[in-house]
Amino acid sequence: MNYPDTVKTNAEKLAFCYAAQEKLRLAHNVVGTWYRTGVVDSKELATLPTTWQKSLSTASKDGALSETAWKEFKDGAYDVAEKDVIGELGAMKEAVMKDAALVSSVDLDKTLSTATAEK
Amino acid sequence: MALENYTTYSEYDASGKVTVGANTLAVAGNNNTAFSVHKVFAAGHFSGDFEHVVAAALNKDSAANLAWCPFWGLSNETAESAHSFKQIKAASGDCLYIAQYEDSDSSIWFRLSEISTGTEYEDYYRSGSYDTWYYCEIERDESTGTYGTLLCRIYSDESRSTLVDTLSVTLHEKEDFRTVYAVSSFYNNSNRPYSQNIKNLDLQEAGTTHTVTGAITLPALEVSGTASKRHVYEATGAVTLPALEVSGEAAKKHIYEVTGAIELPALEVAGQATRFHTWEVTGAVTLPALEVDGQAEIAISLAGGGETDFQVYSSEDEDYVTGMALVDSGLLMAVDWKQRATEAECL
Repeated sequence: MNYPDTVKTNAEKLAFCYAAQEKLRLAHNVVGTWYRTGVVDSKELATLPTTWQKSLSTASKDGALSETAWKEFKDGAYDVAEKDVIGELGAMKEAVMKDAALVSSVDLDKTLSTATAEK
Repeated sequence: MALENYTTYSEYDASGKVTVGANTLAVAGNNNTAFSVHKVFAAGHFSGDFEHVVAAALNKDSAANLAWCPFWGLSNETAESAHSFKQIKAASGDCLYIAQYEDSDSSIWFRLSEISTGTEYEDYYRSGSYDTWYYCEIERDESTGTYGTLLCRIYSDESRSTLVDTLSVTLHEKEDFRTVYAVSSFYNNSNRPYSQNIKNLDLQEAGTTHTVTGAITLPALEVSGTASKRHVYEATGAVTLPALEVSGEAAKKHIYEVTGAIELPALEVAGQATRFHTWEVTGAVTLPALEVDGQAEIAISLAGGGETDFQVYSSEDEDYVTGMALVDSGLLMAVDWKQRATEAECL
């Protein structure tokens, strides 16, 4: 998985992974709707990754997606992409949870709403 | 792949909380009561990657009681009694499970958990609805992460084409399991009643062996392109082959392997035919007399050449004719044969 140049810290990467997973879910459902209804809106089709657009357009017949094409998409293209994102998401969760620098930066007096600090 | 038959699972349900059908479970559960419907396989049965599918719906009843409502799980528990994921955790055990959870009157959660040596790791989806079927794909992929990743894809439709969310838990150990849960209590988590329906668990195991009695009806073969059909028969006794049907042209060949005499069929020719006989014989051969109705030519030759006298019977003269001829290159005579060729002889 590749991050944009603007995404640098683990916390930013974790947030980006969640956003990528959501974008992927929406793309999945564009193809799912295409399979279920037999039609796909050209604007929605344009939101898919370019390689998906090409392979699905080739696989479709008379505009519809067959069950075989749908399963090939799910088991091949989608699952591979999802695991790419989820693998990175898991790594970033671990990294953020155990971020020593972030932990040391926490001032409990200022952080806790039930402040133990003197007022 | 085939749906699991829940009636073949072990049911430990002393309080009668679960109504078990072949592919459906109706649960009038309570977190203060122990129950489970599960199946114990051989040790290590659930190893490596797997993907199970199942559907669940949590029903809106009188109140949201913060109940935990597990509808799938794996463990290594084998006790012949009701199992509980909460008790496995308390005993510092290991398991994987997914549960619905009543958060409030307006939303329910899906909680996907790994319990490793009593420590729980989870991911959750918090925007589910009551009285709605959710179709889940639960997958363990051991190639993602150090010990693998447990995933649960939650769909809102039976064709699993509308994805609601994908939960993921990075696993903290590689472990094989042997017990699968169709449903389990979350005992003892105080008095939290709930109503849940579960259906169509499919372990999607290749090579599952089913023992059947009676006739098996196979589905019709459908071929979109061209196909060829072959029959292989192993039979004792007489075999009757089906009639050969050909829509176009066909050629037929018979191959016989026989012992004993062979009688060939009579030769039938619609046009002209030439017949050749070839004999291979031992002993004397008697040739038929040669008869010529017109004129014939007879060639006489002598080894080494030279001259020879000859005598030929002439039918015109009705007598023998004698003469001499040089036969360096053979003698060619024109004779009107009415007699046998043997009557022309060299003298």
